Amino acid sequence: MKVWLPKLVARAPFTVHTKLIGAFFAIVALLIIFGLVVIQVLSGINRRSEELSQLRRKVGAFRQLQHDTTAQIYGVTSALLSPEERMIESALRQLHEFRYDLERLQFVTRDEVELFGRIKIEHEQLIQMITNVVELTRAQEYKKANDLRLTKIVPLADTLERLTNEMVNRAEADMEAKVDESNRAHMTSRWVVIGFAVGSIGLAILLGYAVSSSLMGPVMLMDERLRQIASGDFSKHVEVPNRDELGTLADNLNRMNNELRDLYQQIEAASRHKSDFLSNMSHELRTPLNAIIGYSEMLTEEAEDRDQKDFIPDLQKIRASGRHLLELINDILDLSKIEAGKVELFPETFDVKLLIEEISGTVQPLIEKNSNILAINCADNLGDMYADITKVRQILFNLLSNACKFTELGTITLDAVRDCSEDAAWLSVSVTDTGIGMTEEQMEKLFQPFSQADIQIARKYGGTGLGLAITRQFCEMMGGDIKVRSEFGRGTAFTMRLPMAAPHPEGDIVSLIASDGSSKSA
Amino acid sequence: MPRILLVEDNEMNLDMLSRRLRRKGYEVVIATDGEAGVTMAGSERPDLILMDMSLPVLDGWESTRRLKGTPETAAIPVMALTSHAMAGEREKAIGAGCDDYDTKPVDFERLLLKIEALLKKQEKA
Ligand SMILES: Nc1ncnc2c1ncn2[C@@H]1O[C@H](COP(=O)(O)OP(=O)(O)O)[C@@H](O)[C@H]1O
Ligand SMILES: [Mg+2]
Repeated sequence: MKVWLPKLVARAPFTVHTKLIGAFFAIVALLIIFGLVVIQVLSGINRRSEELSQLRRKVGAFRQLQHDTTAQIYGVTSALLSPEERMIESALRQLHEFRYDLERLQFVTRDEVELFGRIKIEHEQLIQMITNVVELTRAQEYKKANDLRLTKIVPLADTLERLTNEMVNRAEADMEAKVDESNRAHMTSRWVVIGFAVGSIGLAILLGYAVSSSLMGPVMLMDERLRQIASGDFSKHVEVPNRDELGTLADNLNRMNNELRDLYQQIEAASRHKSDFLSNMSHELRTPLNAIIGYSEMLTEEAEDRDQKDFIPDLQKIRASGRHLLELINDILDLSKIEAGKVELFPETFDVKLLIEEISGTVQPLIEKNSNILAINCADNLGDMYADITKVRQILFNLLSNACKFTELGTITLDAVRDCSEDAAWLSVSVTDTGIGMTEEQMEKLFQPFSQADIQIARKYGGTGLGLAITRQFCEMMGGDIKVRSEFGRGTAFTMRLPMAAPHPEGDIVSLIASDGSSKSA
Repeated sequence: MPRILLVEDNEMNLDMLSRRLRRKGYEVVIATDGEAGVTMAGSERPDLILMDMSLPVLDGWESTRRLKGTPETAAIPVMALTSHAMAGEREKAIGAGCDDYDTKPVDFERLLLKIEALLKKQEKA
């Protein structure tokens, strides 16, 4: 039931609005029915208590009659014993009261006409007798009066007492029965009320559950699906049983999913084409460039060999331009690979000091170009590092070549230290120069692709403004960072920090590469 | 003088590298695809092989793997020439059994240093 009821509600071909109103009215109807039942029960209780009090009055009236009869006989007896006028008067007065009793009795015993008839007849006789006795007493015929009292009144009084007793007993039995019946009826009606209350609460809860989960279920499903879509998963559709607005919503969601998926695939394809194009193009550019650089170098050598030195400066210009173009192509390619998320890290263990020495050898020509001096301070405890050596080399080369480029007749200092903080060992390298420096404004744009400090610098020093963007991306990719301090006209210091131990890549590189290579040849 | 087998399919690179190496005094034999390279290595017994990685017929990685898998040629040092463009190409070359690598376009001075180092190591062995 837990499942099929909400499904049933969901499948019902009505709008959500109709369903909600329907559920609301159903609950209101339940409330009204419950109210009617309670009213019914209450009026039953009322009726029974009325009947009970009527019985009580009846019993009271009988008792009164009984009491009055006894009093009467007593009154007559005492009137006979001391026949004063006062006593006789009181006996007669009592006789009157007796009549009231009878009238009252007549009113409450409409249902027992026969018994009452007998009582009435007996009473008429008793009254008659008593009147006679009283008259005899007044005539001072005490003997006769006493005889009459003994022979007629006493037996009459006895019969009357029996009759009234019977009546009282019967009425009391009736009353007892009524009380019993009323108790039973009370129990029954209590169960009816409780049953109805529980039933209608249960029904209301069930209805509420069915309606709300037929609405909430699909909403949650769609929420979940939207979350997945937001995280780039377009592979599924959301299925809801609803044939209402929520059903339409789900259909639209699925349509949106498909549209987004198609769009995403198009974009993905476009970006793949873009990076394929870039890598193909740069490969194609590199091949002729290779020849330009190689042949100009060869011609230089040949010119030296044949002692034709006047060609050499021109040949060197061709070669330098070729190299420059090559660097630009490499930078653009690197950046596009970073943007496409295609850069992989291939960490290996290497000696940091050896790497720094190798790089200082590589940049020596650049240092000399602007008549600078390179000072290298390596801490003794540098040791080994586990990282992608190509990327580390590129980072350091970029920083050093910038320092060379923007410094003339100055000093370029490289400080390398191992620092242990944040529970890890870091390699921290600063490249400090005494060059042109940067203003605050210029530093703000640093590390953005194609951003050079300003147009004049671009014109004077060349370059693309890609080096630092690549450098920072590499640093961050390897879990490190890079910072800059600079003073305009005084110099600049870049400090980069890399973890000494990169996290090991998943899987075994060599086996990965081997399988890759074999699949390529197959 | 040491003999170098140059396996390269690009005509200009082949011409340039072979002429420059010859000028430095090396004896240079050439092959223009991977399969020819593997055959030449068996017949010419060079002291060192310079192997381009993107080759027709048989690519550089597979050629190297075959050379290293054949007892007669396994001892010849192989220097891979990889293009900067491909991520992980260097690692792939080492994985295929190359002894060293250099990137194209070649820095000739650096290449010479590496060649000499490899040959020296080979002599010692
Ligand atoms: N050591 C430095 N001294 C002064 N300015 C620098 C230094 N390094 C970088 N810059 C500034 O940052 C800009 C971006 O540098 P970079 O990304 O390496 O590009 P590029 O060297 O191609 O111009 C440079 O154009 C220059 O204005
Ligand atoms: Mg730069």
